[in-house]
Amino acid sequence: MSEHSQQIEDVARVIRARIGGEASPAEDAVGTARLAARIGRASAPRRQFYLGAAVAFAAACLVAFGYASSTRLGYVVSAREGSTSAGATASSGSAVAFSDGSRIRLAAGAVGQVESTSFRGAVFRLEDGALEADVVHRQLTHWSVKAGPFTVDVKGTRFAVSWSPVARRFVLTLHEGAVDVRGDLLPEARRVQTGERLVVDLVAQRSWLEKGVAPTPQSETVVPGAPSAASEPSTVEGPAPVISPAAGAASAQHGQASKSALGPSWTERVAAGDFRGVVDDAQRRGPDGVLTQAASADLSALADAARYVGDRALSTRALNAQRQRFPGTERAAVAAFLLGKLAEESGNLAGAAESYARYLSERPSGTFAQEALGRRMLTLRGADPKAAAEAAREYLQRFPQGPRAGPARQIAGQP
Amino acid sequence: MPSENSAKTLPWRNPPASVAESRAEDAALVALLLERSPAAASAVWVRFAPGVRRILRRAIWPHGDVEDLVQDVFVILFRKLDTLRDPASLRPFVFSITATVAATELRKIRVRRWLRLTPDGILPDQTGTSRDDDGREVLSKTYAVLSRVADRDRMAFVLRTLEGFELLEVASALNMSVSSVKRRVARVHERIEREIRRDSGLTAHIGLPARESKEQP
Repeated sequence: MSEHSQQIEDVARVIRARIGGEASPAEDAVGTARLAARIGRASAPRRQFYLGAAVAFAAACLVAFGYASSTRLGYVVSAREGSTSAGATASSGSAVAFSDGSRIRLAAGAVGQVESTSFRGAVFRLEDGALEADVVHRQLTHWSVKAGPFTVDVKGTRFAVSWSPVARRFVLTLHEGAVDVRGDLLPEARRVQTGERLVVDLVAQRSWLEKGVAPTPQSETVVPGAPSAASEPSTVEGPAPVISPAAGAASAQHGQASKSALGPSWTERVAAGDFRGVVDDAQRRGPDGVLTQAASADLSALADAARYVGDRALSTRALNAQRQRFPGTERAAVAAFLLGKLAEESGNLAGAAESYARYLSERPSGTFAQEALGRRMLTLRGADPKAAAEAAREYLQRFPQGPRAGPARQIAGQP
Repeated sequence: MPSENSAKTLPWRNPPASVAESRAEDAALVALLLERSPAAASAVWVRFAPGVRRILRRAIWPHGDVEDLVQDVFVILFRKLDTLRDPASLRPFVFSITATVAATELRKIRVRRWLRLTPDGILPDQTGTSRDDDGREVLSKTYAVLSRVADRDRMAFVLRTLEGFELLEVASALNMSVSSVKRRVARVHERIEREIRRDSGLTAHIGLPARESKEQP
């Protein structure tokens, strides 16, 4: 308002004082009722408007939204804990609600984004972690969920997907309906039906289908891939997964998780959703020992598990250990990105920006480069607008159609 | 996932504490609307109707009742909600529609003015009818100026100067560049100042410096 002279301020003050926007409750009620009549083209007697304004208004809105049924889907990203965020990118604990009633919920620590929408459905990309999808079936419905090199084609169903770019592992569990999955190690589209679980382990170069997986109640918040007594596979197609325990000094030298006949590795358990079990296991063994001896894969798994159960301190320690003990590796670079996310979640924006910069310097074209650059831009915005603008310009140059292109243009001061 | 209950618990009636909070509430509201929540439809009305009404009144004063226009805004809002790409941008979306509705009405007024006896369609003030004649005079003179500027200049003045919108918000609502907004607002300010300086009584009322001191330094 600095461009306003005192004279203009005086004029504005007079106008503001004399022309307001107030309406009495009665005027408001009449207004909503008239609006209901206009939108809904209601023919009810006038007195009903006064008696049932709220009801009529609600009905009118339903009519209004009915017009949108043949147009592109709308959606909103909202966080589980009441606060909400907007835009195409969803992260830890978020839910994405689409205008056709379909929903996608991300597990804690997961990152994904809506790539596109159409009148038939949407394409959602899961970058990391797990999600649960509930897609409403309609005529011509076509949805896709992409996770790493995999694409799940959906007509209308309820399912869970998890993808770990570090463990290179994809898991799809069908609660209802059927989907087709395409991707690495799947030479042709693989049909997965109710009660089945498809697992593709790119590290082990194996895929298999588990049958007889118990369907999860619709109302339950499911951690994808989480095993239960009732969900043990009764039939397994293809080779059985390698069963290996966590932590072993010898293999840790090579960054590989050690194996024994005692049980699944931490990576396996995280992929199956047993986050609490992995954290408890680490606590039993003693975190200090684990962090100095565990294999690189186990440190990643532990960091993920701790992050998923909300133990940021342990997750941070595991990620720092990863960076110190296995510098220069892909996991160490990813650890920098995840450290940024943890710092951001705890309000340490400067630390977050630094970690994102570290990831970008180590993996300028890495899996998380777009996300890291976007997040760095946003975390710098308050404290260092100049650096934020620089990051925004770089973002726009590299990812002009990216999910944060809008904020980037704003920060960069571009129209 | 927001539920219908959250529409009842969120402080829709109170101004949000920050822009971020406002955007978060808007996004939640859109989510609820898309879920066909009746509470959300009412919440949208409660949240935005006063602002919409105020802008429309200030935009078209002294021409008639704005209630029909307020409803036009909400009818368009509900029909176009699916085109809103960023749910957190509900507020600018609403006020962009408001600006469009106001501009359309101003065009109609301009046409109707041809049939009237006064050049600006505003009837002359009757003396001795107001307790605040000076304030009334300021209002009248200002809107006489506004009636002679372009509709987009007038809307830029209303949103920026009277409503206190940020330049970016005005630019977004009027679909023009920030520099264009600045230019248009400055142009209106200059004309208002010039008009008011012609009247020494008004100058005294609103604390303007004496005409001579400004124009003959």
